[in-house]
Amino acid sequence: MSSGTPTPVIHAEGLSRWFGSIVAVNDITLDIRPGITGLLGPNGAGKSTLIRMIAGLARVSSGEVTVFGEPVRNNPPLSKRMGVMLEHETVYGFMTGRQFVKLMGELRQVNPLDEAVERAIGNVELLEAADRKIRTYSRGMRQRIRLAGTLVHDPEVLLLDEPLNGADPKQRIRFQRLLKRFAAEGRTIVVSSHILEEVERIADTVVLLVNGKLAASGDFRAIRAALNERPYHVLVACDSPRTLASAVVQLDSVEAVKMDPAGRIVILSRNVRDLQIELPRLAQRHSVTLSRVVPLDDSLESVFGYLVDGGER
Amino acid sequence: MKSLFLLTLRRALSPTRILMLGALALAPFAVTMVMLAVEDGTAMADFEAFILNAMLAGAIIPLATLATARAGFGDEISDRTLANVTLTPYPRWKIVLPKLLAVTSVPGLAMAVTAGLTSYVAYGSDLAATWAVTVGAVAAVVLYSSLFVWLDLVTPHAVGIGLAYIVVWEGLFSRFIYGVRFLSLRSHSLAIAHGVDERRFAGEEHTAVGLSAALAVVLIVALFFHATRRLRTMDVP
Repeated sequence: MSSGTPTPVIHAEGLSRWFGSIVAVNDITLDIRPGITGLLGPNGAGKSTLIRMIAGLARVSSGEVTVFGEPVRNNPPLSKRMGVMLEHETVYGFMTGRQFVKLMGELRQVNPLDEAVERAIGNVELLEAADRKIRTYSRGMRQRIRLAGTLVHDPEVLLLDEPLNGADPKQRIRFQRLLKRFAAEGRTIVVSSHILEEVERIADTVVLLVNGKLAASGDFRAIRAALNERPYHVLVACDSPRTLASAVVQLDSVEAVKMDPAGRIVILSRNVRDLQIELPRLAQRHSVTLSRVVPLDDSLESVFGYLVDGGER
Repeated sequence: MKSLFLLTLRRALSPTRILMLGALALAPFAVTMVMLAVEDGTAMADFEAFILNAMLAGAIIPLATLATARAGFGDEISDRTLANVTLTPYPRWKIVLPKLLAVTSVPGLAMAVTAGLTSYVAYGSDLAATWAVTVGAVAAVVLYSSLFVWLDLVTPHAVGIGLAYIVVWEGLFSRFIYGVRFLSLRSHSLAIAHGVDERRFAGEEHTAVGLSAALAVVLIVALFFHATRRLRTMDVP
């Protein structure tokens, strides 16, 4: 496995998938190179459909997708080089963890098998529970044994759909460390998530999907910088809104202030961090009691929406 | 292939299915015992028409096969574990074949035992007749399994359609509409049993033995190839 190759391992060209009148993935063209790529987007953005198309599990309505330059559909030998962990649970409760990983290895013609099974289970730190039935596992443990099953054939490409669902903070850190080690070995890893911070910690490159469309892709820092410049609306309820509004408008971190029909203040700010510090001080100085401070558009959808619209809304 | 066979076998042998198969397998034997006890010697024509034709070939075998055929692909589509077996380097026919063999072997064994025992008792230890009925039952299981495994791959409503097929097509149309028997799996299995022992099912309507055997082979091969093709082209959940 060579590291740092500039050649894209995964290439999608005009990729679309629709189900009846619903467009799940819309005309996506992208290249994914070795390293960790975060596939980010709110629920229903088309992440899982895109991963399933890259894995060859779902048909494409138009466009094409290749891995290592080969078509992914009807190409069973390619599955030896790919490890796919889908969002939903694909384990057999009646098996032990070890039996499951062994089965995955057998199905992928791994040789020598026992050694690979131990290594894969060890990688996810589940050796102690490996001989327990999977039905007795916690959700986080089931995720880990699935990951072991995905890793058992030592794939060059890993497609992981929401792999951290159900994982506790400790497991998340272990998982991040594991993925970074795999990436350093030259593997190509795609990790989907709807949690911005989660992807930020793992991935250097990010692909942003919104409503099935490619909203942005590239270096995470550049996208993060764009996010930092995004204006935020903050709702403030207090006992003296007019006093506070006239004081708040003087702050550098505030772009505009308006009152809503309920008499609360809506502040537009491009620097929420400074506003968080300055607002309580200002209220104290003017003897105003704050009863509520709520960010109005902090949802992931609004963040992605901002990126899609380029801050024009 | 062995792994897939064993995985499918494990699913086909779930406690619920074993109970269902046990109850279905016991039914014709129990009814035969009652008939023998009550009538003091069963009219062979009635036994063949009601127990073997209508009950065993027309209801018990297709129901047992429908239940176990789900272990082939239906269960894996429902619980979304099908990706585990399709994301493998195996050509698709090597996935369909062991699954088909596994889901055929379980009801095949159960139905062979019940058909063999029932006919052995009813025909007064006539081994040729017992062998004929057993072969016919196994042929029916292979035919129905091929059909229902294929059905699971082409529709999410395989159980409903399968039940409707058993009741409407095999239960009504093929018995009362001339010509439908050429497309009836029940009729072909009776013809095959008749071919093994000409005394058996002589009074029942069925197709010629050679034609039935040929049609059965064509059907099994066609369903197998289409199932393989379907597995290649379908969206794996």
